[in-house]
Amino acid sequence: MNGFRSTLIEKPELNDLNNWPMHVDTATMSSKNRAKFIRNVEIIKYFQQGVSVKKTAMTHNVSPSMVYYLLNRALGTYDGEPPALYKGLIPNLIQHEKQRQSPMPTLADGRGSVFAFKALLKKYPDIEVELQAKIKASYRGTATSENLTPNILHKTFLSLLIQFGVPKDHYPYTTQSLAYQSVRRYFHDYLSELRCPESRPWRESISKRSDMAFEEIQIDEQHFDCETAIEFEIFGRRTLVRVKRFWIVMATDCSTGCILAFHFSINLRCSQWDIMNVLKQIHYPKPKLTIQTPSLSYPEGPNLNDLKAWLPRVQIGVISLDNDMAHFGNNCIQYAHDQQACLHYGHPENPNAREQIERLFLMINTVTHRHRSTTGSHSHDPIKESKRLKKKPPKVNVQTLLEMMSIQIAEYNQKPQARLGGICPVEKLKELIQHQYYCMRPPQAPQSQLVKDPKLRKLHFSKTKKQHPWVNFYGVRYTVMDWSKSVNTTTTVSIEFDPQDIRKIKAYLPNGDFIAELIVPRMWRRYAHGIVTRKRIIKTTKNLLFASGDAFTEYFTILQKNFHKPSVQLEMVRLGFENSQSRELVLDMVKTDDLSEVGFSSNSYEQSANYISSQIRMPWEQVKIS
Amino acid sequence: MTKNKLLEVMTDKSVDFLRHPVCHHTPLSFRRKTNYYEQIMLKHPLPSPFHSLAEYLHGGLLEADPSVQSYVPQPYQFKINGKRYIPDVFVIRGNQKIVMEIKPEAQTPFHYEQYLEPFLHKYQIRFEVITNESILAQEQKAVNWLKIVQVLVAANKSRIRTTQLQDEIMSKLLMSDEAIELGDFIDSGDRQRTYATEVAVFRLAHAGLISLALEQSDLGFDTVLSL
Repeated sequence: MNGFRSTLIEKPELNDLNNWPMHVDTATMSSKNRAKFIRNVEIIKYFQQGVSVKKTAMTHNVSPSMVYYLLNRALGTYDGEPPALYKGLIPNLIQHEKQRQSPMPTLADGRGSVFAFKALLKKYPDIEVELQAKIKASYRGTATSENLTPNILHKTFLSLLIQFGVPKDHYPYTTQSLAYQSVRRYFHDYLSELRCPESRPWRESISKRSDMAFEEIQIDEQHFDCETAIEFEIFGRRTLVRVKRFWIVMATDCSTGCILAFHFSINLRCSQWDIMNVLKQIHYPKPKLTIQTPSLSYPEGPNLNDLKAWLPRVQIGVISLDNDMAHFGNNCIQYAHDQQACLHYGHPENPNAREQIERLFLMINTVTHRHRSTTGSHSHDPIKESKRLKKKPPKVNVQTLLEMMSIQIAEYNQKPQARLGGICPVEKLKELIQHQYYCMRPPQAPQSQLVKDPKLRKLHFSKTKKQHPWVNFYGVRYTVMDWSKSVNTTTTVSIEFDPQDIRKIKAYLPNGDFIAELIVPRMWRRYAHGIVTRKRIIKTTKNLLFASGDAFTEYFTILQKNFHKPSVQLEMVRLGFENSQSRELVLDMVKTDDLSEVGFSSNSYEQSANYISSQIRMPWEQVKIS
Repeated sequence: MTKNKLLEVMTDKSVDFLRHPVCHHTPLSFRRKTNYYEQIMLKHPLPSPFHSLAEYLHGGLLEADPSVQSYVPQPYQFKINGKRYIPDVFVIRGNQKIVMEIKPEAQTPFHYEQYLEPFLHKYQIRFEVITNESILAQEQKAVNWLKIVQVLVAANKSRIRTTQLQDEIMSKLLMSDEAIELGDFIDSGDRQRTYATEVAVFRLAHAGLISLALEQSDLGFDTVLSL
């Protein structure tokens, strides 16, 4: 060890306390240690001011050797390490691993046995190897190992002493317990070392520190930790039912923490269409919900709709997802490729890789956990709904919960954050887009609801009958309404469609030329329906369609028969929300006499009730959801 | 050609396939188990699968290297000692054809090298092992180039023409004695107006006609351009 004087010769600047880096937090010390630490600092300060050691010691009521001791602790170096400085002034802090200085005790020379066990293991390293192997085997539960206790290990230790020829007059034979306590401590220390998880080499990633908008967007979904209620009115009979938990899908920008998009998926499982919905919202944020619950309102302040003109220009860098099957949907992948974004599916069971989005779900849980009908975060969570309350539908309505969530997300985006320098995520995003460099997309065509089908379809021409050419799309034959560019032979076409309403699709040649709009058969034109609804109707009513010729009625009849099932109730809610937006079906090319049959345009239950009642056996419009 | 008992080509046995491979499809089960990246690149203008961060960054470095004409990630499937093996990338650099395997330094030397090297040598293809560490040391450069690739792929898709702008940029760089930054070509207040110029700069850099200082810092307005 080099003393403080040699350090001061090498680094004379350390003779001034102001040049010492302060990295000791006195707040975490006990009051007794803090007082001693401050005294030690004062002693060093006196010494550095040129006051003699004797006078310094007298002033602080310590011995002169204590002053030298402190100077050596703070400024002395050990094995080429830098001086401890302030750390050396912390009372009772062990700076270096202690070792036995004096020779090992013997029966003739009965010295104390301080650090004698450690010295023994150092002198006979094979003993330590054997002990460690025995403890490791016991910890791993190998077939040849035994259930080890300190007592058993001590016996092994004694036999090892004989095996490796430790003299009988040396330590541990000089002690009465034959180093039992040292073996016991060694056993527990090594066991806890084995139990400790191995620290993986951590590499600082450059990309995480970047300050560029949309460089990484994380997307994930989670079940709401809350069950809700909804009231159905079927044929005038009102029924209040408990609705099962459904999903929220969110997308967040990693540079700002801003929630760019969210979607409520009222389904048993999240599908690729929910992910698609969120992906589309990244560039085109959806408008705010119309708040129906009294006393709820959106906070005033900046929101993503203010950046509507800017967001479509920003190129997405990486879209981070987990390895859920919904994320591998062809439509999601196709959409990401159309945006030239990189898709990143991380390692399985590693949510920490997407910690930003996972942390946001904690924020969502603060709302859902407030309700009595919460399920809690896990099956043993004490806040979960009691069995007594579970017998009745909860008080919170589906619509209210969705509105609360929407407001909570808006509030989060407007809340100033310390890590963003005291500004809110939306403001930060605005700042990054308006003042910092971002990768830019080419000028975009106006926003379109249409998405491109990743699969190429065949445009069929009948060789025997005189009929319009057609394309099979999601189990239904779509016929050509009007040619934009006439095609006369069977060819492959790519399809564009609106996932929310697939009554009408557009066909393009592989070279990108638009050829025609195609329309669904009449029985499917009545309601705007998405792909999920189409698939479910076809799957459920496969054998019944020919009988009635009305897929929607058949499907509703089946739903009504199974209305007691929670999954069916959830499906009814989903259908209700799907139909809540009025979508026009424009049929320019349909003949005028057909219009009376298929041309009604609204999907709202109330508006078309009179018309429908004469058309279908089970009036769909007799269902109301509130 | 694949009589060697220890090594056989599983996908296609023609010589042409070895010299001009196509990207091997990554099964869904494997995509779900690995740190999977997928992006459309410029020198492999199809969805390119990368099975680790190092492979993805290596893709960015290949894009940055003007001597690399094209590359194919996950090119072939071999069967070595009864086990399936897919090399990481096939690169065409000048007249050379190289099959590369990316491994952590701790896993080198690569144990299949003894089979692959003599086999590929017969078809004038070199086999190389690159360490993850050597790629990660150039992470900043690779990340920046991957961003440029995204911009250029989008521009190519939108058929943005920049031939005239590229000539103007080159002449400006030739005339200038001082260092020119990317911000000198881009109007930060109206990015849309100078979008084509931005693409032109990136196209020149990608072709190796100019160089961008992207090794140490993020791509930005202050990125220095040089000839």
